[in-house]
Amino acid sequence: MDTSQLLKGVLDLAVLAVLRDSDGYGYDVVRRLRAAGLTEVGDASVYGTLRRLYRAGGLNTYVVPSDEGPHRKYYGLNDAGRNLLEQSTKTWRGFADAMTSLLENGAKEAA
Amino acid sequence: MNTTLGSTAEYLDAVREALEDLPDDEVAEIVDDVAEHLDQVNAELGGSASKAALEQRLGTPEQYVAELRAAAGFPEPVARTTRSRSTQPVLRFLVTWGLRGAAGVAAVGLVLMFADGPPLAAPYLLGCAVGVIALGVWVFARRRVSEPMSSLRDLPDARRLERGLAEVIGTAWGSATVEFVLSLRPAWWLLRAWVATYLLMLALGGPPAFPVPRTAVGFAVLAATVIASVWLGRRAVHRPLSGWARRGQTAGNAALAVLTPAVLVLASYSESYWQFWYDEPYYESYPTGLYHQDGSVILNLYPYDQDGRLLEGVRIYDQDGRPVDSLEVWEWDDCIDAGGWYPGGPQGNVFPRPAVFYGADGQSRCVDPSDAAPFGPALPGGTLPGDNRTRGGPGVDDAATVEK
Repeated sequence: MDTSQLLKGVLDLAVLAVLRDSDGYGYDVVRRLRAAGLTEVGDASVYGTLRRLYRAGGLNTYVVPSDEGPHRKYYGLNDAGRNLLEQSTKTWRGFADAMTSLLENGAKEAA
Repeated sequence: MNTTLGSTAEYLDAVREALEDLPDDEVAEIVDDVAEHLDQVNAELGGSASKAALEQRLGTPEQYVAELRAAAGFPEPVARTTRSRSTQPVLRFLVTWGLRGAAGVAAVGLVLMFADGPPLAAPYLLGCAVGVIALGVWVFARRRVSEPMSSLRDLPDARRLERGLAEVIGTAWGSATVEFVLSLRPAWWLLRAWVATYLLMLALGGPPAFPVPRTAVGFAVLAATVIASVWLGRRAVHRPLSGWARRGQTAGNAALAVLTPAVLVLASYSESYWQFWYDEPYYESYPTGLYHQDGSVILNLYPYDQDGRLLEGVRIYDQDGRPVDSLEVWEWDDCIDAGGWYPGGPQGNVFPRPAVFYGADGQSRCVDPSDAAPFGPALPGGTLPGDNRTRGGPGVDDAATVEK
């Protein structure tokens, strides 16, 4: 099964989750997602997701001057973003539980 | 380094083009993100990634944008106006080198101007003008007129400059310097008000009496510009402007900053330069000219002895033994040398001086004093011995003739 297809539906949640504890700039978010095991995540998808969450009002941004490059635009969760993360987490848990039990029951019936 | 910046900039250009149908603000934000992303990827690839290497890592710019748009929930691109891709690198090359050339000319011009004064302000001003035109062409060609800064940031040199600045600011003394320079802001408000006043007075006509205006109008204008400038400056600090107001502020500041060196040079030369220009006495700092009571100027002295013979090579001194050498000099006088002096020894107080003679052919030439001495019934002897000049040559009205 193609992981990238699965990722599409949950990338919002994944991005919100990596920003929960600390703010990050775009490429930082990409790296954190990869480090968390989502190795197939596409760079451009992450940037697109950040823009969408920002336009939806869930993120705020600020610019930090950097030693190496021009400057970095950081993204962080605001209250709306935290709510969204909470809601999405619940939805995901329900979905994941349903899938897990479906897969287990299916396995039992097949046995 | 060059190729790196070239390839990331090229990639970024293509990304921008593929986003063209989106609102300007959104495009600017995305381009900001992508620029940073490309920098990071480029650094990861060893700092000198070719375009091919970038594409291998990120996909083509079109693929990149398609993925980004899908994730961001943007609509499929509407048929966008295509622009010949190949014009972009050519334009970038022309603008880049145009700017470098302009900067070089302006830098040399600045030195020349400070060394030699207002007549040599032209190279500096020309360099600045070419630079402004090149920047304008770039911004308009990118069709992101509402986001000029992000267009300018795409220029390879601008990125390099920005990076260099960031590096400098990152150091301890760099940030201290920045802090110090920022603390000088009020001084800049005053300076720009002064420059604006100077230019305004210049535009209103005549040589501006500077460094400090000497007229009530001048003072009123200076006071008004100072108040306005400080008010605008303080306002911008406490409540940063946005949109067109901010662009106007940036453009105005830049224009005044560019003109400031020229105005400083002009003002510092204003005494000698402007007075020269407006036909006021050339050697104003020298003590005297000789004038008749009716104000007509004495240009030459013709001493005669009691027998009516013209004396030549007479040195004239005043009561203090100071040589009388500062009679008015007409700068187009054929007799003076390049330094503005008559021949006649270091003191220049030898009289009569050679004089300009207008021949029958209308040509002027510098002649021996005895050939130009005034004559007439009022003069000793009435006529000059051996006078064989054509009447109508220089006479008592010498000054008026030369002044023509």
